[in-house]
Amino acid sequence: MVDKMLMMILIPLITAFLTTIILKQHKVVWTLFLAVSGYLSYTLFTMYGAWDLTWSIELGYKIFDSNLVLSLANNPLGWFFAFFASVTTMLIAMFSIAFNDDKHDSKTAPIWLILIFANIGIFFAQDWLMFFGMWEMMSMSSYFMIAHGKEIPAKAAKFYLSLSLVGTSTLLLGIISVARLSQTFDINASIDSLINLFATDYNKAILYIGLFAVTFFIKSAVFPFYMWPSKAYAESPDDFTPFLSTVMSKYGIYGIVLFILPILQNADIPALGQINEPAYILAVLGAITSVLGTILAIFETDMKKLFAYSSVANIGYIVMGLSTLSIIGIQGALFHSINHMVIKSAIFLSLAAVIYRTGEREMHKLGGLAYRMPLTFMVYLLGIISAAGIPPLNGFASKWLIIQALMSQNMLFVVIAMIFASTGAFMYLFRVLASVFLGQLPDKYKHIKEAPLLMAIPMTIIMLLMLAIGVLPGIIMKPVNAVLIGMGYDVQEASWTTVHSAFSNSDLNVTNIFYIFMAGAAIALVFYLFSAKSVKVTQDDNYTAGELPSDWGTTPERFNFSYGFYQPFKEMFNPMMDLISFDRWMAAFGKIVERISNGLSVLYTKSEGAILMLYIGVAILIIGGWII
Amino acid sequence: MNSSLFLIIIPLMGAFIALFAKKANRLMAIVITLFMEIFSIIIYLSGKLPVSVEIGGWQPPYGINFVLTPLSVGFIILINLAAIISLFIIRGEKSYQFYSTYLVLLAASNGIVLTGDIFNFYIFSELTAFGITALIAYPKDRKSTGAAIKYLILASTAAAFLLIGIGIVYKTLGTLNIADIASKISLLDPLTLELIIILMLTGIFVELELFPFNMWVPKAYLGGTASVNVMLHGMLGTAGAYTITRILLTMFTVDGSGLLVNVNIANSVIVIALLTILVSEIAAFNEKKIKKVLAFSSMGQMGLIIFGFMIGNEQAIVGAFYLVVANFVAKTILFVLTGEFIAMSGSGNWEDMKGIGRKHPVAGLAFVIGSLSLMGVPFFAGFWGKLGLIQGAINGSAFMVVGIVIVLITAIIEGIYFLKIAHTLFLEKDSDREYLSKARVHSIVIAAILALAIIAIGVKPGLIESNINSATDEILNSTSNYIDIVFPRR
Repeated sequence: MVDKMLMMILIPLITAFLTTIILKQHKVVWTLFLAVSGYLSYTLFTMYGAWDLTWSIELGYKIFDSNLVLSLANNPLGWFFAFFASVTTMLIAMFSIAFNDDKHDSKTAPIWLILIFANIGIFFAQDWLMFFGMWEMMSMSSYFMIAHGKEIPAKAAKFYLSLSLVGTSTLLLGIISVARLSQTFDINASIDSLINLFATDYNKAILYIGLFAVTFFIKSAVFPFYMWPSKAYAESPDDFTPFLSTVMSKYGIYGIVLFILPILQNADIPALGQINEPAYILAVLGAITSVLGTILAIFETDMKKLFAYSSVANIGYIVMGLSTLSIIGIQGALFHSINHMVIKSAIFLSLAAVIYRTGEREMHKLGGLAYRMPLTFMVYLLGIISAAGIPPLNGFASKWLIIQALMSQNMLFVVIAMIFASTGAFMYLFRVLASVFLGQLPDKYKHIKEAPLLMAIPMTIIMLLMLAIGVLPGIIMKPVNAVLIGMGYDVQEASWTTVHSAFSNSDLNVTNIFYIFMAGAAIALVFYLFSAKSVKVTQDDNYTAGELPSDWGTTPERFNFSYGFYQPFKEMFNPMMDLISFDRWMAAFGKIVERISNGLSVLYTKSEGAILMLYIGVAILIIGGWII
Repeated sequence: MNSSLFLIIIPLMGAFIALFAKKANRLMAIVITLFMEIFSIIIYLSGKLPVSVEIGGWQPPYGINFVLTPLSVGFIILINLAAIISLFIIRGEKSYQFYSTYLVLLAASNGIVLTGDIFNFYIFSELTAFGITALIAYPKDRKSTGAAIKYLILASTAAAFLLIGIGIVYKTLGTLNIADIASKISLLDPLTLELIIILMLTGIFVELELFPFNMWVPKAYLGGTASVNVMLHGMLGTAGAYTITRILLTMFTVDGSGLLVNVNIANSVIVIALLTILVSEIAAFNEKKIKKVLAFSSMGQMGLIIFGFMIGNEQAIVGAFYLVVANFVAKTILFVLTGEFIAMSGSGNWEDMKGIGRKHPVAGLAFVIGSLSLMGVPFFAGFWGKLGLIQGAINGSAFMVVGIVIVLITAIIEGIYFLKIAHTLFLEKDSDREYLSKARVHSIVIAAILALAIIAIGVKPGLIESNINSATDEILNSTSNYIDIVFPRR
């Protein structure tokens, strides 16, 4: 039998080369892409439970007097992320076939396939070398993916690339430092040796963990690296944005769960409250991330940027959940990771469908599309209901778990941040609904059609998934608990319907909630059927909320209240945002480097100083060699 | 093994014959270089290495000898490979001066690597300097003439330093043989030794492109044609890297252990190497002319290689050798392709090279692979060098760790500008620009083959591991591997 593990990384790679050759046949290319992601999903599905599956190769390069080995191994945690990532990818791939037509073809399938190859490698890597290699592959290929051969996206991607490179550099330093401790690149061994280091040299251990954490934070856009998604997501190909948001933002989370969490859990670190200091830092960073992400999302007028910040906020929730170091918190975080995958793919795919039809990203230029694209509207609507964490859909249970876990660890300020962010989410979620799908339909979009069938199918599947996970959380919770058992936690097998919580009597049967909700809907239906007939109101009946359209220099027919929607809110928070803009610091730093660069270039162009410089060099040698 | 003399004699004779060969001179140059490459590979595989060849039967230290070790012959193979490639990418050059000078350069750079005599080394390095000056100046325009003069002035100054250094060695030790000097180095009093080292280092640092000795570099690359760039980088640069291993790591070491006798000077060299890395990468960051970018990057890689060699433990030296190979291959790809791209777009600015990658995907891909290898991305050859370097440095002193942090920071800058350029190749072409010519197929084929080599080494570093290990072993135990070969009776 051919090695499953090897095939899983080889097939995307081979297909990548194949698709490069036939890049012009976009239909074939994207169908191949779908086939590969389907194959991966199927293989991963069959691999559940086969935790002894491994693959390794000797490199013939010696470090620490032993031959380096690259190895992949099936494990619950990696499987968990890889499987759901590849299912999401499959759905996006189906969408991509329709999206990449003659006009929209981004010609990025080969790079995306390399990204999927790296994806599998990251999640199943058994040693740091493999992990790092795949991590770099992922960073580099995603740069090309985001830039996708266009000028403006290339600028956005440059920002992403510089952060990525900072990340890979620190990761490499961290890996080598830790590997030097454990004398091997094996991930589990490195966790053990770092736990031991905590007992002897606390500061050094924190430094090493910090090196890893910076990388993971950058990739998942945790504060202070929360700026890049708004640029990168907005400019990347529209069908790739869901992948960025759903799959790629989880790499950092995966890294934290894989490496940092077991150390914080098991190492001998002085307690702070009910957790410990590093975990508290993690919690605070998560809280800041979610609050900032929410506020910035509220400000945005570009819908892809808006949801980029929304993704940032969601990563904040997940990090907060992980920081509790409790079973419920980690369950909630892992559950929310998958929910975020589903929800964000629903939202970004529906937005991609809108952009596919209209070519417009600025929300205030759109409107009223609910009439023209009802299915897309439905998907988006369910997506935001779920994202807001309203019961019958999937977003609720995971947020519930995270808040419970935070409360049970007495992390009150963090809970406040979480609730602030959750509530703030309503503001921006609704905003897109109001500006894009409701309101006035501009004339030029009068003849917009519903998204094509191949886009509709994955969107419908995702819609059903949201409902299914919402009603039967066991779909996700069973693998989550398998992961926790694999990590050495003492948990029961999860039930299909009930979510166990941190406090006594707080177990929640989500299926019952669904029944209650259905009953409510039935009652509403009764009212709808037997009460008075609905009346169609005119636009300025209630829509303008007391403002006269003439005040805004427009007519009642054309009046659209979606630009500067949250102006007062923005004025309230803007000064703070300006202060902590990481973006601006980086730009300033880039400018300085550019100036020095120009100066040095001039130095090399001028002829006069050449010999003088040579003597300066001699002086360095003399001073260094003789005098010091 | 007396036939190893052919490696120098044949190109020298060729240089003379080229004057009369009329139109056949390019063919002749190719045939000679191919012969040299095959011949050196045969020597490498013959199993008779290491061996010392006494020229004219005069025994060292009185006569001149050639030392053929796995290390030196390995470098000869690389140098001749670069020579072949540079010949293949010449554009319509027919004049005898060019080929004649080229053959002298080839003989001289082989001589630098083969010789076991320090004065002989001086002569050969002077010869390469004059050869490359003529080649840089060859386009006969203002830019290249200026660059050539600048190089000539610096190289001559450096040569003066080198000569004084050699003079003092001869005065104090009474010998010019490298192995002899290496075995007698402990007899010198420290101050004289330091003076000698400083003088000789100044002499070789100019050709090693180290800051602040390297004011000639960007202009020389900019002034020369693509094939001269490959010569500069592949022949001179590689010979330069060999020079470090011989002079720094064999001649002036503690009991032939690969550690420089004087720690202070070793640290100063590391400072200079780090300065070079820092300055070159930052200078390249905002540079618009692609050749200058590559020139700066060459400097940076050289700094990195020297940093690796100076760390001095086995891991770092292995890493440095991987870097030599990776840098050689990757930079050759980039120079070959850059020559094509400049001819195509008619401009030296990388911003004008939009769309070339779309038109020639293989070339574009090879460019990306070369850049990734230089950046040290895993699964590309350069990574194993970087890994070994970091591994070695982190086992060293705190000073080395600072160095490695600098290296990693500059790797970020390097990554940004390289991928920025690589991506520009895949941008949509401006509609008002037309390509002046087509890219030549054989250049792209050369680049593609080298790119495959990068990936092969990157995925399976074991391919060249035994070669690199024997080279490393030679440096770390140079007493038994070098001195005893030259003087077997001692």
